[in-house]
Amino acid sequence: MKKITINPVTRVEGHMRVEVFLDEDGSVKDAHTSTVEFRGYEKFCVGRRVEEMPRIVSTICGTCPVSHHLASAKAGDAVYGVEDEIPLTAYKLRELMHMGQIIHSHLIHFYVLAAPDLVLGPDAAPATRNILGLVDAVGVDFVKEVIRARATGQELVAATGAKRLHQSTAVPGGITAVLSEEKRRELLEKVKSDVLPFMEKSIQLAQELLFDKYADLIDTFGVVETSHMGLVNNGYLDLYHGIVRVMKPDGEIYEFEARDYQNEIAEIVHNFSSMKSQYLKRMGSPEKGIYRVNALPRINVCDEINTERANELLKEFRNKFGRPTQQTLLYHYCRLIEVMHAAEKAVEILEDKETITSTKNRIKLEKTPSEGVGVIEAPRGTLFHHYKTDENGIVREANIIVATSQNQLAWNEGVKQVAKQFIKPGEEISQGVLNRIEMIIRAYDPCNSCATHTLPGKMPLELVIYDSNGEVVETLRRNI
Amino acid sequence: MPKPILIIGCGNPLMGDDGAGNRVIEKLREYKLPDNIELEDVGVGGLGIIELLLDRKKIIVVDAVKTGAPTGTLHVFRREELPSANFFMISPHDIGLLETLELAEKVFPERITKDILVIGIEAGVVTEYTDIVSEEVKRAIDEAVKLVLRELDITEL
Repeated sequence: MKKITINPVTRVEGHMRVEVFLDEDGSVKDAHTSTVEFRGYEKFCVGRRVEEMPRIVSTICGTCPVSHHLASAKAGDAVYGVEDEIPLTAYKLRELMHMGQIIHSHLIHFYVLAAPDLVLGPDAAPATRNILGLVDAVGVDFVKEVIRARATGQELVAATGAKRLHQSTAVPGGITAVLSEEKRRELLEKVKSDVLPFMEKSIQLAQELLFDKYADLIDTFGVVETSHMGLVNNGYLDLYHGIVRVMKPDGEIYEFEARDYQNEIAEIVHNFSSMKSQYLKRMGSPEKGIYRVNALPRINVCDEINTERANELLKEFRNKFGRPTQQTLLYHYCRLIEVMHAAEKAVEILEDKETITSTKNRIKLEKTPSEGVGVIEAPRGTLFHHYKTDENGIVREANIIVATSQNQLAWNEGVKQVAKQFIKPGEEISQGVLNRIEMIIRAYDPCNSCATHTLPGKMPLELVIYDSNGEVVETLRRNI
Repeated sequence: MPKPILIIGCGNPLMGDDGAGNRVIEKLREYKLPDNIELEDVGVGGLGIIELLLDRKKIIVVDAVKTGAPTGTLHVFRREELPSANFFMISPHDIGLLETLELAEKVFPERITKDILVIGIEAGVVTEYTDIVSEEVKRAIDEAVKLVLRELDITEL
């Protein structure tokens, strides 16, 4: 069997390799990604005080520190049995921090990782298909607005998390942050002036690109039939708190509490990747239990969105694409619906002056700590933190399921499909084909390591073709 | 107005030698530096640090790098000598240091200084969660601190 290796996926993750296997006549037989997962994450947590965990885990991931910070605090709430007693002010401050993260994380993804492919085209040269090329295409003023809107999200995080990175305020039982009236007014003004109007422009741009320009691509590119998972609260989209809802490919729904995740989610270990995958136990097998997380699944599983404009966008989207929507490239659009929701939610929270500026932000922890699960919708999908502690609150066991690994089975299916579609016997493999494979993976916004910037920068893309004896017969490279 | 001199450290302090840049900032905080200097640990950096870079007279960046040189080697560049983007590490979700600088120059040409010094500290192990840095990098961190102070013409503290 011939083997094609694309290594690594630029702009996603230095340590990810895409391998495409050909049969004797040169047709694609199989494809998967191979991922190096950084080790020692759980080990690092053991022996720490559960009260310290939210602060420690916020430094574990450079990409979505807020998600780990809040999931950890929520696990701590559960460890102390106070998950239903968190003061409303603390709940809302945490939620506001999370909305800030959703705004800045999704906007970076859309404008830095997704838009260059869509605006400049999948066949544009890698040298221009990036944020700098985007500046030329959409103009300096537009990019200034991107930067300003994203920065506002970051300010929401800084105001509630004490720092712009490595948040330290959320603790089991509440939050230590207090929002001043002056800061409340300033943030409210900024979300209204710098995010909401800009999101209308972003939605318009995304509709032009995804609904019109690439309409054909949307329906044919990396579409996979899977289940979808996300948190809902009374059926509404809820990024901070709720029950886990699963929608099967036929649209049937079931729900479970996050604390029962081990009864519902099974893990498999691959021989080709050090990152585990998850599937739904109720569906019976990894093949049938394949599911996805992140924006598209969240938009699929919720009945409605409890903010006005985002709900209008949801209805319009659902009328156009149905439910559940399986078109992978629509992840990009769903992220923007979520940013609209996050901005509207931030306004709603900030307008409740009495609650959000109150100093009643913590409760006393009086019960003996034992075990708890915290769950949150990280920008990249459902994130579980599970701690078992001794009676002094020292973590003895920790288990964390990150969003990215839950999408691994699905994107492998997508990669296989695209490889079959675009790599044909006897035909030259163009740079555009390589980028199309990357586009699929990028739609899922993977962050394999939940780690750092320790990955070598824009490493060159390499594609190696092996013959059936494992000998290299051809090597394609770029950026080398 | 932002302070005229900005010194930023990039990295993840929980990924061993990757945290070299953060630690240089920590060490510099132990000194009583003049009021015109701002120290910032910017984590993995990216698009989010653009505003921080604007309206400065001078910027010094300290970052971990992986080039194959012996662990602890210091690589020092002025803005005009910066090597290709491949040289620097990036977050999987964001743009790298060089792209961030280039973007700032393109979008805010009148607000970004040309006086930029980049210090790269060659990292050893960066694939396991640990807050311990190697001995070589510890020495390099001390050297980088001296280098920063020298660059700022600070001799007496």
